[in-house]
Amino acid sequence: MAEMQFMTHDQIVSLLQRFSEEGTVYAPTIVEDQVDFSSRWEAGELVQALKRGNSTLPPKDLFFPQTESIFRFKSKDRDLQIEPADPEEQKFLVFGVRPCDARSINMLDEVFGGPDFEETYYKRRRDNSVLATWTCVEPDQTCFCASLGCGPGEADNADIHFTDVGEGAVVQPKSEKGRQLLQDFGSFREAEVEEVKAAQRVVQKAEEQISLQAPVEGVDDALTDRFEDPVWGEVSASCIGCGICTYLCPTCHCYDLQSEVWGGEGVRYRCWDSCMFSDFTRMAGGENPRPTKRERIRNRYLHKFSYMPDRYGFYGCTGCGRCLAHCPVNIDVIEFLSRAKGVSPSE
Amino acid sequence: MTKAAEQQGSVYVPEPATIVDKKRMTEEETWYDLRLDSGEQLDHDPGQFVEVSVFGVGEAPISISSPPSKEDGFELCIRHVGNVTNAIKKLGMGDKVGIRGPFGTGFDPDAVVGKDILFVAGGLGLVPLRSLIWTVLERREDYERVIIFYGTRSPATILYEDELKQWENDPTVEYHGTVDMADDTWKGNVGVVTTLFSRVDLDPDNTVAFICGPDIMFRFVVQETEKVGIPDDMTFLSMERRMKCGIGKCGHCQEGSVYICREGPCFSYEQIKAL
Repeated sequence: MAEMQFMTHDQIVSLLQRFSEEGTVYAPTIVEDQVDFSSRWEAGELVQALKRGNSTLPPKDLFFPQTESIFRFKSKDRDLQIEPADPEEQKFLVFGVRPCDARSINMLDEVFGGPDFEETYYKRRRDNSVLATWTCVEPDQTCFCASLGCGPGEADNADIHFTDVGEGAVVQPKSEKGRQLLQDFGSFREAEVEEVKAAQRVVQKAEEQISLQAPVEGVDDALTDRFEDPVWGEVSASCIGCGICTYLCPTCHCYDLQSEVWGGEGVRYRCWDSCMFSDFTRMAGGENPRPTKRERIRNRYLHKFSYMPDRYGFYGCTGCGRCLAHCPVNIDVIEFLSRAKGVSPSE
Repeated sequence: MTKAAEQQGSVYVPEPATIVDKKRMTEEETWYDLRLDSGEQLDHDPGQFVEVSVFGVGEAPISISSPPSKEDGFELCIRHVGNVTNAIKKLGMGDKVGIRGPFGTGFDPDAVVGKDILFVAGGLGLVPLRSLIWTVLERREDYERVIIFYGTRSPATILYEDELKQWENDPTVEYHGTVDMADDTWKGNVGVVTTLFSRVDLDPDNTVAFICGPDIMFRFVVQETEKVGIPDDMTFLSMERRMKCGIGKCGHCQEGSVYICREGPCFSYEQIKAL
């Protein structure tokens, strides 16, 4: 199979429909005027949904759900039964992922896979899934992926990548899983040279639209040097600790283990947690290593831009801009990084 | 992780364990003797911890107090301060809890053979150190001096009193206890644990210090060990954080680029002084 293929929009829809007979397809879906990845995507609205900006929620919850059962328990008198939850083994396809979000999944692969312990829940979902990315033709004003070594048309870890060129898309299978997907479910033909060139122009045009830049070069050292700087107090002053930045962040991965109980039965589940919450690090005795929002915001930024590079070798940010777009008090990561580095934010 | 946990395929699923003995130690702390229902041993290192589940309440990280050599089961000493640990208080002999672990990096007794061993414990900090103290005393001939400093708030909060007496009477152990505030019954030292440093001569070239206690205590103790001249890479301590997952992922115990539940809780001072 040559590397570049072409599929019409109808052929793309039918690929998803054929896959749906064997597994679940999650695709961008317009729900109450926002885009979400949903298994109830509409064939008639797919192209329209893809043309909108990025989804409000990143697709990370398909691999790392907001809540998932770990085990059920029953205890009566001194009899205790523990029943691990059945692993989900269903195949699924995540279609229309933006390259920034694909990159975040690459990062989560490292977090849940390494450096020294592989987490089976996440891995099982990754192994059972195909990641299909879509060139981001309409970057938002809050996008700054280019500063993080990412881009609207680059998705190194995708299984298959699509770039819309009008009547259809140029399709590039990038892994064995992606090639298999096309062979098993797709109708396609080899892309014409002109179509490949058109796809390149689409990517280039999208790149030109990303004007926002984050001064990340050397920011890890700058932040570490400013550990005790008053800037943390200033940035955090307006924070209300709502946690939306962590909830919408495609790379945030903190979680908790909690229980629900009814009578003598219950379930232990894993759920997302947020380092922005005041009790996140609080110990039973009352001691709290990060007692105020100053320490919590400092830790979040340092985690993304200093600790993750140190532990995993990459910044824990893809430049998707969701925290920037949705923070209710307008805490601005770019303004903050600029201040930390002592430069003025550039537009 | 024990074999049963590995077979279950999930690091988050606890193994049932039964309380076979318990003893009230102080107003706040109770000692427990536990057995895994699988009959397996924990196979832990001194200084490691387990996550203890009370079903229907939750899970809490607790240091293992018994030495690895203990043949049946393992011991915990639990301070009743939170939801889970207060629920444990209500459990009796024969009751079930869940155990995950052992987790984390413990102390390595093999790495300090031939050294003078100094233990500095503050309050509940004796619990993780006790595992190492007994491990060292079991192979006493492998080490030179063994010195134990133990400080508590008051005589009423002293843990493992019988064992402290054993150490006091052991001619091969230099034991020194102190309390912050004495009462009428107390005839020993009064003052914080750092005051004990003036009572012994330590050889900075051959002493290894193991420190465990509240954050504030270890800051002052480290000042003393540095004053004596014990190198930072010969000073070890155990850190307390809100460990949840035990595998360095969930973020609750993250400190800088380190996950305390995985790379710790036991560190050399050299490793963590930058955190």
